[in-house]
Amino acid sequence: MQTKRPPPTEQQVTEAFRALANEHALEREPFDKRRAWHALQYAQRTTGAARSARMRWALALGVFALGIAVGAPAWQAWAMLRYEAHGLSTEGSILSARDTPADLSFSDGSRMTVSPHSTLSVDLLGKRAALTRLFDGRLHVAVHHEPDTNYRFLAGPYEVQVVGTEFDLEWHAQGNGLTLIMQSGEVRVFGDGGRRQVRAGQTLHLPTNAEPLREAALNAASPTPPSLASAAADIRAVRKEASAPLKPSAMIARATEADWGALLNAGQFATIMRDADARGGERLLESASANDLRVLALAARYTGRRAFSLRAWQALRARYVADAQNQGAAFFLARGHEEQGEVAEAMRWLARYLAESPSGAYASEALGRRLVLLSKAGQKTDAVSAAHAYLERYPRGAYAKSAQLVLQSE
Amino acid sequence: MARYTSSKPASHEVEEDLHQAIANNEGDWQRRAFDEYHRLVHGLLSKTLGPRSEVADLTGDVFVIFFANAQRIRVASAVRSYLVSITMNVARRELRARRRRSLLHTLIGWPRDAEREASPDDPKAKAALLQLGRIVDELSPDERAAFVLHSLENMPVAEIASALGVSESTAKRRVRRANEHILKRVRRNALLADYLVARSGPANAD
Repeated sequence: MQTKRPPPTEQQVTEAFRALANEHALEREPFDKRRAWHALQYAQRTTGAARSARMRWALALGVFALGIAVGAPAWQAWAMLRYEAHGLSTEGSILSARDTPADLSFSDGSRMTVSPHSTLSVDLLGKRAALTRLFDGRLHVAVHHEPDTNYRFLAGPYEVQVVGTEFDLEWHAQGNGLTLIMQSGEVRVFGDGGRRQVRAGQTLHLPTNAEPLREAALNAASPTPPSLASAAADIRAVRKEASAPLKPSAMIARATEADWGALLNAGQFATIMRDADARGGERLLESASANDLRVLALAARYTGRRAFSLRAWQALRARYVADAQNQGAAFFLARGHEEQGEVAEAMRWLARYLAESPSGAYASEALGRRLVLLSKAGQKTDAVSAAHAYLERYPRGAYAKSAQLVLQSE
Repeated sequence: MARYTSSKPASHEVEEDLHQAIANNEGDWQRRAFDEYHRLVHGLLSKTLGPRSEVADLTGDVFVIFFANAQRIRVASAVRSYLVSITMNVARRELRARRRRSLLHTLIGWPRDAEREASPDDPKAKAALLQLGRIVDELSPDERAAFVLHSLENMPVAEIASALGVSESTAKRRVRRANEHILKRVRRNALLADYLVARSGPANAD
């Protein structure tokens, strides 16, 4: 019968364990050390070979990864059109020109000049292919021609397809519709269920909706930018439609209006102002038609004559109340005063515009500017309520981020 | 008691000569190192990994690593500790791999690795060694390495810390935990405890 021993101490366990382990190790030690040495030499060779094979694989993988890392962007750069925007603000994919002309330079050498207050988006579709949506405003486009060039422009219901050409494209959903002034090359225009070719020197006007085309002034002319005479000729051709007899003074007024309208469309703001100065300058404001006043106000603004612009808008409001409201004169007055640093006056006109045209074409912009001005002026309570009002109506508008910032800093 | 139980420690002159040969890349330095330290490496691996491992292959691995890096050794006294350090790293790597394999086998339902017979001819010694091996298997690889170097190889704590690349306090802590665990588990097994007591002789003051 086995007698019960006291539990082993740590020393006893360790010593017994050590003895057993040493016996075990000694017994398992290779009997023939020479064979062990040969096995080691073989292992060393195979390990060396395996290591060099691993290194070769690692090197190949590294080169492959480097190739991908460097090659993919290079391939993309080579295979995909790129552009650089100068002077444009971005809101998601929407590009907007504020108060000064901006331009887009494409990697294939094509260029677009974006007139102030124009809004567009550009999707790059290939090495020499792009789709531009003109939401509002005016573009001067010069597309570099290559056999596979494919630039398309969507403006309202219309599409302009370009291979290589230079032209001006203007679109106002709330105004004159589409205007296309070709300077060189040829484009195809879709939108009335058919296809139209427009060639150098021709001008095409289309209404806002895609009714049967009212094609106008497809006269051959010089491919250079339209001069006052050529623009007037174009517009006279347009006006042939309205063939009702007019009084001489009314005819002069219509001709002037048409001339300036065409020049405004062509971006010839300085020409308009020179012409206006030649005809009496600010004295014109007392007799000019509502449309002339609008054209003068815009042309003066774009040529930096802010005081003239403000007086033209004020004249429009004083003499043609309904037209002024339709044209958003109060909004432009607000912008003019803001540009001159007259914040209080700008706020007053913004409030008036929003009161007169709460759903007007510039309501979003007016609410946004009011929000920004209130925030800058430190009127936190009003800024917060303006931010709430803006986000409620335009949760994805151009000033949504500004509104959110105001609310966050509350 | 010998300082290292797996092999007689090389004399200072032998270590100096070997280091000189390594530094001068003399033709037979690898063979000399192998002859000098094979027993040490093999013993350390056997004790750390237990009876189930392919110790011969791992011994080869240790020397392959040593041969590839021995030129970096600056002083003669570091040759042995460098080799011990490589050996324990290889052993710990093997232990971790063994745990991963075991987990994988459990997950996919494969049978566990068959245990090899312990080598001593004495059946009681064989059974004791297998049971001690199972207890040591419960230690983490780091604690196991510390235990082998300290308790089975009689290595000083400073050298253990150097070989395992940890501080002395960490090495001490690992040794203490391992010893506590093994003692607790041995005491629960009456047969094993009796055998170890009988084998080690009367206890000294503990």
